[in-house]
Amino acid sequence: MRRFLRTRPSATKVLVVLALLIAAVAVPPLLGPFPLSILMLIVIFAILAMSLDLLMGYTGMESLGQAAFFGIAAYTIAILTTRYTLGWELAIPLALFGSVALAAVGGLLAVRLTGLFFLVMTLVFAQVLWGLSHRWGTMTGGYLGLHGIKRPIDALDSDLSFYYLSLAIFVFCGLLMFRLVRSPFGLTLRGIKDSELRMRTSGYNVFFHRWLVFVIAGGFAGVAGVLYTYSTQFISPTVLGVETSFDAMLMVIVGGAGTLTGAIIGAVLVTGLRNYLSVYVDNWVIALGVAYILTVFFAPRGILGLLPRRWRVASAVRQEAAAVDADIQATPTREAATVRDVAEPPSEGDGRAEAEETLRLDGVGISFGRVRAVNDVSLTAYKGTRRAILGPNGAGKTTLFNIITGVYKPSHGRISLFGQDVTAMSAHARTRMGLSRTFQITNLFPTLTVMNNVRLGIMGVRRTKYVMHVPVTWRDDVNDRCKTLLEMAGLWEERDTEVANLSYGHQRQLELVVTLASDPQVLLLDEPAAGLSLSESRSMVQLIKALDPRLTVLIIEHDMDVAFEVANEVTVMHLGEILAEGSAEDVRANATVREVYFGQAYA
Amino acid sequence: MDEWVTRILNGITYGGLLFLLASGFTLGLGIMKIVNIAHGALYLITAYVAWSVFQDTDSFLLTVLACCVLGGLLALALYAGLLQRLHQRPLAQILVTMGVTLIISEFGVVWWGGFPRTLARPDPFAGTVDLGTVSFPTYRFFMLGAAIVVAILLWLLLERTRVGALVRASVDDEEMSRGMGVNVGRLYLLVFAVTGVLAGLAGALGAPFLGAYQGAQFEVLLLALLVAVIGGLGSIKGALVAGLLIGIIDSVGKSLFPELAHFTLFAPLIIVLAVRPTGLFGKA
Repeated sequence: MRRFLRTRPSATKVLVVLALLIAAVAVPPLLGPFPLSILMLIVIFAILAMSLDLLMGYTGMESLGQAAFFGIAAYTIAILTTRYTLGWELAIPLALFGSVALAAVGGLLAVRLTGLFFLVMTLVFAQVLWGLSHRWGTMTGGYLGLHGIKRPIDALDSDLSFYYLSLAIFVFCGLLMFRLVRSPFGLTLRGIKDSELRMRTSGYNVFFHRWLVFVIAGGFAGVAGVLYTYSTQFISPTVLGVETSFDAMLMVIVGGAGTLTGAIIGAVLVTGLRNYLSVYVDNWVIALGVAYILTVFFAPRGILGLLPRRWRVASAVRQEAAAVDADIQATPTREAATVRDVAEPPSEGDGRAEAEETLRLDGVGISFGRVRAVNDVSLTAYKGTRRAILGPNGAGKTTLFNIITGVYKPSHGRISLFGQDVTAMSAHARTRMGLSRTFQITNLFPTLTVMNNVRLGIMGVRRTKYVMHVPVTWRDDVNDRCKTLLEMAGLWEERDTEVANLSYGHQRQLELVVTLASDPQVLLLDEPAAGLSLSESRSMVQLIKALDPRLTVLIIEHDMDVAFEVANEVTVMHLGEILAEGSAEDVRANATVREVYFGQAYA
Repeated sequence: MDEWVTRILNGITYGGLLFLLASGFTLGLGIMKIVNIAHGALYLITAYVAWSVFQDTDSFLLTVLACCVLGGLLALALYAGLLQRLHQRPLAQILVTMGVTLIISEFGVVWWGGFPRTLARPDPFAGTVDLGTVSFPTYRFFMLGAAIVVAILLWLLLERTRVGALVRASVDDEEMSRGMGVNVGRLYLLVFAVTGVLAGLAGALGAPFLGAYQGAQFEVLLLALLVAVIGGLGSIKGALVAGLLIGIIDSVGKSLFPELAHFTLFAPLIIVLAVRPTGLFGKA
């Protein structure tokens, strides 16, 4: 039974798009050759801008080299058809292959870098090719470029028919990309943009997701490049130049990064500005320069960002809310495994000896320069362990968590999870094995809704995360699990709130929910009650006490009441080492602990 | 053998100019995290001005002074007018400075026309130096000498003066500097003005060699980027080493594989970024 849970575009949106499409089909025959040629370029550059938006707007990968993938396809077509008289049937696939292959190989180098370094690396790709196109005259025609590229078939010789072909391909590519950004995979991209660390510790191979979208974007840029060559029938190093990459970036930003519609609007404006002004205005480049500056200062979030907020988000969000409401109310909850009813007493008496070992640290340590943050820590935890890790600030507690989860590589020692050595394993692989954590400073996806935060928590350990063709809201299995988890924490009503707008107490609770969403067996909680009011702290304790008793829970906590209430074992750390271990009473009685932790007076 | 001497000398001296082109850029990047796309445009406009001033006054010293002052003033205006309000927003800075690049370059077209303008090599450096079997243009040695002097002065400024210490402290922990009463805003304004002076110096010294031409705004930018990244963002020592290294690679590569000239220039960058993204002397 398929259930009505899905978001669909609103009627207004469909009507607007239809009207624009009809205009795009009906108007061009009435236009002169010059406007028609510009329209053709607009459609082509819109594909390029959307491809860049996948990287910039959705994943937060600001690339200054999208021209590389555009240009390599363009040059492949030009060279193969003019120098080797290859037919278009072969040249086009080879050109697209060129873009995808370049993105795949270049991506291996580039996507490991972030921020400024990524910018530079992508700029360099484009620049190397630009240099080649300039100097390798025998092949590329040097700065003169290559002329006389014939369109595939005679029927496309008229600009009007070629425009229609480009329009059709633009619509097709656009649909694919719109579908992609709404898919589970698309959501993972937005997650990466918001918090890479949270993604890694939720089970995502961030490197792979970045690489994948880099290759996909490269492929779409290649499609634009092929169309461009055939439309202008002439090509020069400019297609690979800095200006092309910058213009693509301007298109994305002018329209509003992170909305494919914005990229299309940007393509219309920038392409129109460039081509119209260059004909009618002397020194039009100055106007283009001014446009760059004005965009940054007056429309940093693009034209779409200037619209009233409710126009932008409204339909999608409200619809989702209504749809989910109508559907899941009173649906019996399945998969409540992680959370046990509070009333049920924990099963006593599973002797430690028979209990299954889940986490084991042997002589683990890490140094930063000359500082030994964690030194020779050994620790064993079993199924059902509730262990509090105490210690003054700077004792190395959070660092220890970072080592256990794979955020840091220990400089010595060995970590095993469920009996398997995971010392060399990446953070995301450990999460997939059943390890999960919260952070001392709330680490969520601030620009995503509560629901999408939980979705990302769930999908990290599922294959759903790679699905690209179905909207994420259509995954009933994920939706049901979201509902279960959010109701458990009393956050269901807040499901459509952007996390940045959520109260701090709710954010802390949500982080626990997101952490539980991956169905962990070992849970690390880093000061879950830090900064909470008394009542918020109480409900956090209730949440933690209600966890499945089979879970292994390690909890860092400064609030003694919280620590002793949820844990039955205590490890005290000081200066990176374990100072004492044992039951709460033992540790409370330990003189050294009292001295270090409560101060000399109590010793 | 002589061929190789010439190639290497060509490379080293060109490396000196590369350092001059990159020093201001890497300073801005390392200290203020500003990717000043307009650095190349500052080079271009000061190189144009160098041509005009030298035409009118026939004094190279005056030319250099005029270019340094102009570069510094333009950078001041750019920072105070635009970049100051975009603190810590790299993408916004990149777009704005791209816009400024377009405006400045087009102004160059309006004022000086579309033709390349190259200065005659100024007087004391116009000839060649005889090195036994090969003779070599004196001006190239002058560029190298100027690069070394600038590198030493910058190093002294950053490492041995009070202002330098304040700058280093502010780079390390801006908030703490502010908290201790350092006027970080004014400090940054000063640093950015220095990057402009360096661009102006590169414009004056580069005008007889590279010349001023449309397209230089991006080529110089890319060379500066290349040197800055390979040397490590913000590292003066790194920029000097990287400049000389790239100069040699480029000169040798160009003569051995003329068609792959740009490739030989950028291949080291790809390798460095892949293996050690922080550059030769960069901090992680």
